Amino acid sequence: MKRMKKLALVFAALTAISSVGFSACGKKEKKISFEFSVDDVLAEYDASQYVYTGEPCTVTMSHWDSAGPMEKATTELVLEGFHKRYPTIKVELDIISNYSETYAKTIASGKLHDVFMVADGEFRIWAEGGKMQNLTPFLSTSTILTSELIENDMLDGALERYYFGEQNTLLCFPKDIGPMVLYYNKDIFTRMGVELPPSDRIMTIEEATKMWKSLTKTENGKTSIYGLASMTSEGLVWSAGGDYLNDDRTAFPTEEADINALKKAYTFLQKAVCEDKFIPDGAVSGGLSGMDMFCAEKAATIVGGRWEVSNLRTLDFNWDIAYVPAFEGENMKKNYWSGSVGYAMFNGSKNKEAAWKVIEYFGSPEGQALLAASGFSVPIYESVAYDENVLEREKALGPQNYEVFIESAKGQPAGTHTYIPSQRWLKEGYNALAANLYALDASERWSVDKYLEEVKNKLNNGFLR
Amino acid sequence: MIEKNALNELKKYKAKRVLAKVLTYVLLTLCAALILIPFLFAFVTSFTEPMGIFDFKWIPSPITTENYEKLFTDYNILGGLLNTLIYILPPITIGVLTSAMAAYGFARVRFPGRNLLFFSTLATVLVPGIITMIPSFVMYANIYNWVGTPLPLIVPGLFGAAMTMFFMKQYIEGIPKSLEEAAFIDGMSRGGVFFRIILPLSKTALIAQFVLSFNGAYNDYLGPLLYVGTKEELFTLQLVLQKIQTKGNTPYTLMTAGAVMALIPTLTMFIFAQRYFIEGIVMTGLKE
Amino acid sequence: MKLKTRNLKEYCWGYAFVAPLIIGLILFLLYPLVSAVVYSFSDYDLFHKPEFVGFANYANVFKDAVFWKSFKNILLYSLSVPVTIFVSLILSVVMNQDLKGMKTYRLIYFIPMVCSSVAVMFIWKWMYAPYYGLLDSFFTKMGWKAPLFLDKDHFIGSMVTIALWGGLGGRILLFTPTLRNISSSLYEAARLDGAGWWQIFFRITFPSISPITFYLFITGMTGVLQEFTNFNVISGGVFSETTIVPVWYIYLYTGEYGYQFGYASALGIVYGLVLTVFVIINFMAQKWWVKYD
Repeated sequence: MKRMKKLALVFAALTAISSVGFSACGKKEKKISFEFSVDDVLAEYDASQYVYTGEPCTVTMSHWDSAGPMEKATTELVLEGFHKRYPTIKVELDIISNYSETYAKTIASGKLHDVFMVADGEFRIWAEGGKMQNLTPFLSTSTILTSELIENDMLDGALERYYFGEQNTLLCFPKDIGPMVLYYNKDIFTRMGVELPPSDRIMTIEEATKMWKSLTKTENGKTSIYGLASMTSEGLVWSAGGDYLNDDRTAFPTEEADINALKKAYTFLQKAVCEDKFIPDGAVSGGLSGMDMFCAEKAATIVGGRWEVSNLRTLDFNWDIAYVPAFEGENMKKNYWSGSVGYAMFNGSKNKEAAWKVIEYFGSPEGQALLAASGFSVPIYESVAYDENVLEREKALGPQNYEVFIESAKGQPAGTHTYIPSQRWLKEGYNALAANLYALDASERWSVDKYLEEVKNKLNNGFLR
Repeated sequence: MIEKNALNELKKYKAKRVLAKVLTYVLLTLCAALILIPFLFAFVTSFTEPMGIFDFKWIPSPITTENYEKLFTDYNILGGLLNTLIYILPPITIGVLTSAMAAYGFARVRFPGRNLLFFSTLATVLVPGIITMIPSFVMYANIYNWVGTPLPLIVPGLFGAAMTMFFMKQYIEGIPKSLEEAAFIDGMSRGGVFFRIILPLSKTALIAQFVLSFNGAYNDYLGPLLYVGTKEELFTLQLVLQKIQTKGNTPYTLMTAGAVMALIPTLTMFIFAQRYFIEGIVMTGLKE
Repeated sequence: MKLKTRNLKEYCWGYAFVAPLIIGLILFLLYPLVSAVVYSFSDYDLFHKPEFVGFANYANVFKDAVFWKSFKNILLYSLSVPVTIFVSLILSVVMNQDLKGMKTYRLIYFIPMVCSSVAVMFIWKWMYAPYYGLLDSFFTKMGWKAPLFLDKDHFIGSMVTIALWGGLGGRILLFTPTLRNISSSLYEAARLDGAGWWQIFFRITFPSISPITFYLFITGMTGVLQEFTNFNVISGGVFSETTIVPVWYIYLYTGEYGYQFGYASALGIVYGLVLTVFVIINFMAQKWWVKYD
């Protein structure tokens, strides 16, 4: 025993020494600095709007860090501005890793922060938890977030997804919108002699199909380049005028329009994967995600979110963005879903006024300007999004067609994961059964009608719980 | 004549021995190679450039250490390692001891309720940890107020673990009773028997359990996630490695580099322990 | 009179020895376990107080086709336990000889155990991948047709291979001290009596290590039946009836399927009961093959 203890001690000592040694000369917390100062941005706005007449206090705020240190730096930037405007309110920022997994448990223990972040996917279910403060009274008396501003400047749909319940109470205020666009590899287009996608309008599916087909390169049965790495069906179903569930989200749709749209969407996808083969099927792409394939130049295009930009900027090839193609019609703008994050207030908070000031600030044009300046997300106000400095910088860094992000954000609704709290209808229904649509062996493959029939059975069998 | 036969027998015997040796090595090497392949694969991947993985070669060109560098600069991997060691060494060293104590109690001492207690203890590990996760969290949050600290990871282990206890019980039951009886006759108490006889005899088993428990705690992810997962400074090594993944596309090269780095402590520990196994050939004292 | 005090002393010692472990369990496991039982009889969504619903959750558990399918999946997978134990035993015995290099071999077998399971699963996923994967390239180079390792027909086999690969080390680690503990005099005596290695194995080696084998079997089965991270990682989080396993399914009810802790707890408790019955049966079966001193 003694010897073992000695060994353990020696071992521990060695590790301790080496780690101290390494960390001393190794890692330094990367200080992220921006090329402008907070004061410059603040100078553009009227200081007198920012009035707080309450007691000096401390507001606790929770935030996630899914996008890494940049996200933290950006948030702190906004808080810097906030503090200049409201010197008597101190904000304690808690960066919580693995936010979605752990915050629900924090809610269960009742110890929420005064201001806490809510992703649109969790919104419904956390809202049902009843810990969110109704923000409507705050909003209606706000002098910064006037109804004029919201109606005219705010991007459509930004606020909508945070209403809840029969009375349509506003429970969160949006922080940003994450639209989805079609990323494309310019070099592959040039090599294959295919015309680049238009940057001023949404391509129709017919046009896009032709484009994708001509981008796909197959030799001896093995495809070396796919036209499109991956695409999910939301944009197709919505632009075709349909939906996945009925209106009150309790069963498989019964309206003909919905069912026809579903058929149209899945027929397109099935053909793309099985016949025209410009989208790889799951088995083929194996462990690779769509983004992996795109980055490895094995796919010419891919649908992706705004957040992919910082990663893509490190790649060697030329790329840009275009609108996600959709079916022609009045719903064409719903060409895909967009993500979003908002802030909610804990209804048990002791500092509601101050907490509102924080939420209001993040949602104000000034707060959004600071957020946008870091190039991180699409701000919720058109004027801020189209600000000259922002545009210039973004275009210089890439992509050139930056406007596509903003315009896409205007039409894209919240994703299917926000329909109802449980994802079971998606996971075990639409998604799990879809494998049968794309079976490699044609005899095992389901027809689209059969697929929809099976999904309907699953969903209507007490499955939406 | 007899001599010739004897010589032949000897030759046959020697030949058999050589054959056995050869077979042994062949078998072991074959298995070892199979075991090593995925690991080699990971090792090689960790030295390739991020985009190079799609055209895999056994010797990457170029060989780069950028993945390892990134681990040190972008991720606090050493901090994670240090934290991990701090969180798991105390409960493991003390926990193995307390488990062994309980094991001895269950194995050799007769007392009322022994079987019931034993089975209840075992039963507690049969319930999937998932469902006790939430009430555990609530308990640590409200009753103990330990959330956000590594205490929920450290303290319970100090009291011993059911599975470790179970193993030690099996092992102790294999130790001949006659040894203890001899000690009793000499006037030693139960406690004395445990510390002076049983423990020394179980050294190798204890070390084995130490290594295994170390390994288990080292790889634990869900526990630290819940209790220190919110504060980056308190992250364990697994949590630091996990962060590598949450950035869109999976950087295989970084991850394999991280996995290789994560290997080093436990492997080192095993090397130490191994030497002890070999040297500590147990003298059972049963040369009667 | 003397007998009584001696017994009392015995009892005291007994309790003293097991006290730390029991106290630890009471302090840290009692509340969660009791809560889990309470939740299983209620409707609990984490935000509101649990609402009593009687046996409703349990009734649903028995009707839940997906749950029982996942159970079937994990049972097939659990065949890996006896296989792994058997192979580890063979290897341990082989390495028990005093030949050069045994230490190194043991080290090699131990390596998979030490790797973080998440990283390991990614590596295997990569290896099993069609077209790009290592195994696929290997098969094609050898001229064989590469099967789709992760499809319906091959999935369990592929997972068992991974379990075998990773499970050898730990078991060899535990067999080794036990094998060494067997007195060499026993072996010598047997050899002098002319026993072949077959007989030596069955009459001496196996009975001596049967307690450890029993331990490995029980812990192996209970461990395997509770696995989920590897299945989750290798299927990329995508649900499929081929790859779903009980604990993963329960996990879904604590997050993605809404916060239904009542139902999740009921599922967990039913599963736990099944495991308990299994363990009890095995304990009773001990007398037929496990030899204690």
